[in-house]
Amino acid sequence: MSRLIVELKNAHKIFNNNVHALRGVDFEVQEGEVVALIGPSGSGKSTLLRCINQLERLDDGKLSLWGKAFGPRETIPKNLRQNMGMIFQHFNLFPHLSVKQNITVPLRAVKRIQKIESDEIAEEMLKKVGLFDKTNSFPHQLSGGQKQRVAIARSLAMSPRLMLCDEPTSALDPELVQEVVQVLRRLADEGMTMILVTHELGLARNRAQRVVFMEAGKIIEEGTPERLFNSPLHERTKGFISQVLR
Amino acid sequence: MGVSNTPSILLSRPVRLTFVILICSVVSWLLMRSFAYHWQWETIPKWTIVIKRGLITTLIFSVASVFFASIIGTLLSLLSISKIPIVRDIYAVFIEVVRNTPLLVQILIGYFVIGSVFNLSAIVAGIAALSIFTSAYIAEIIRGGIESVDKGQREAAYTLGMSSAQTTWLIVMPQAIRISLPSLTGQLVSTIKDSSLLSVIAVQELTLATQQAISNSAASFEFWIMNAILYFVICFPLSRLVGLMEKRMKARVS
Ligand SMILES: Nc1ncnc2c1ncn2[C@@H]1O[C@H](COP(=O)(O)OP(=O)(O)O)[C@@H](O)[C@H]1O
Ligand SMILES: [Mg+2]
Repeated sequence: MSRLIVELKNAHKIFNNNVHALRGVDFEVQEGEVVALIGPSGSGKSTLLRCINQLERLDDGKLSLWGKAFGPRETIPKNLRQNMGMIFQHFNLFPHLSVKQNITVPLRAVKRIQKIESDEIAEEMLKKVGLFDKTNSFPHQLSGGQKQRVAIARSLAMSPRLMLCDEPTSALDPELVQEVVQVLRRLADEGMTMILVTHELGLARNRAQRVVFMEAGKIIEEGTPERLFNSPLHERTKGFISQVLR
Repeated sequence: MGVSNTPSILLSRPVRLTFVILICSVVSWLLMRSFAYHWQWETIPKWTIVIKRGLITTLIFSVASVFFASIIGTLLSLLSISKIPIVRDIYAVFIEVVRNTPLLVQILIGYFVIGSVFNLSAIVAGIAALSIFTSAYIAEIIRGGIESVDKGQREAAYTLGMSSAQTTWLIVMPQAIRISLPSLTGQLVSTIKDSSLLSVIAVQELTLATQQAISNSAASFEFWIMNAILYFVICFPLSRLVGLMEKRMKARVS
């Protein structure tokens, strides 16, 4: 029994420099599903992701979250926003706060819980990403891979039901990619619903139930990883995949 | 490092500075000698107590004004990032009026007009006028700080579910103030010098103390030079501190 938690219908986004970043996108995600979003740079992957949590507003079309529909002018309520965690390419840790405070300060602000409780959650999340020993470090003392794992822990502390990951390993040195991939893989195994913008085709192949290929603001084709990677229907997809795998 | 970058001992910075200071001293000495004036440096020590009291008053007024101005300026800077256009306009008008009119006039109006309406003493009116004047500069410094905080910080806070006010106070403002610290210290230097204008409403600060010493002795230039030296002795280390803070901040960013 699966449930639709994200649904975009005929989504259009035009930035004020007249870039038409989304050109009528239909996109949906079921509960528990891991969807990999791939495509060349500038194809609108980030924009699609950011329209789901309204970091960007649609110019036309409809967004539905957990069955509630929102037009381009309607703001999604705070509780739905809190259901969606986001992982950024450049981590966006708070540099003035320690690793632990990066988790507890937003947690206490949003959930209005006691310090003891937020400290416990922070420790639990840091254990989960294997960084318990960095509790009192500051972001600038961490490697890129460690920063991204803290960002994941920070996001998970809010107990989101959907994770939006925008190229979580793209800013990392190659030798640090695997530690982050591992954490994401474990998250998928635990049943987290995820939309994963990534160039890590390995991760997409292993964990995604569905791969979506975008180009020039449109979804060109989608399918299971085996189908899409092994026998892409479109020339565009074929070209992109061979280029990335090269 | 290339060989051409290695400075010779003769051209190293301390040597150059000593040289410049020496030249300036000789020129000043020659000027003073040819100036038909009877120098009476020995009168200065007689006024030590008055001058010292003036110096302390200057420091207290400056620190108090920068303190109040930091609070007012921080709150004002929030107006500049308001989503409501009219609020941003109010901010802009305040900043432009305060920064583009003479502080002297602001102090006089503050004391003789507003001060007499609300029955304020020269001390209160003086600190208020200097605080408001300084707050306009501080607001602009902090606004600059806010704008230099990466927009990813706001986005991360948004996706964590924080409200706009929480994001401003817990995430953006602490970083903006940290970025602004060197400029805020620089503002203290300006305010110390600006506070000399409080002498016009009879606040007993360093410049008024200097004027009193002059009118009660025959030595005017001696006291003016002493006055300048005292301001310099306070302000110069602070200015150097600004440079140091900026350097440290750059080192941390990279
Ligand atoms: N804030 C913005 N303002 C203007 N143009 C933007 C903005 N964000 C993205 N774009 C443009 O929209 C298009 C899609 O960008 P993006 O969604 O970031 O692509 P991707 O993530 O697939 O690389 C690009 O042409 C990009 O330049
Ligand atoms: Mg992108």
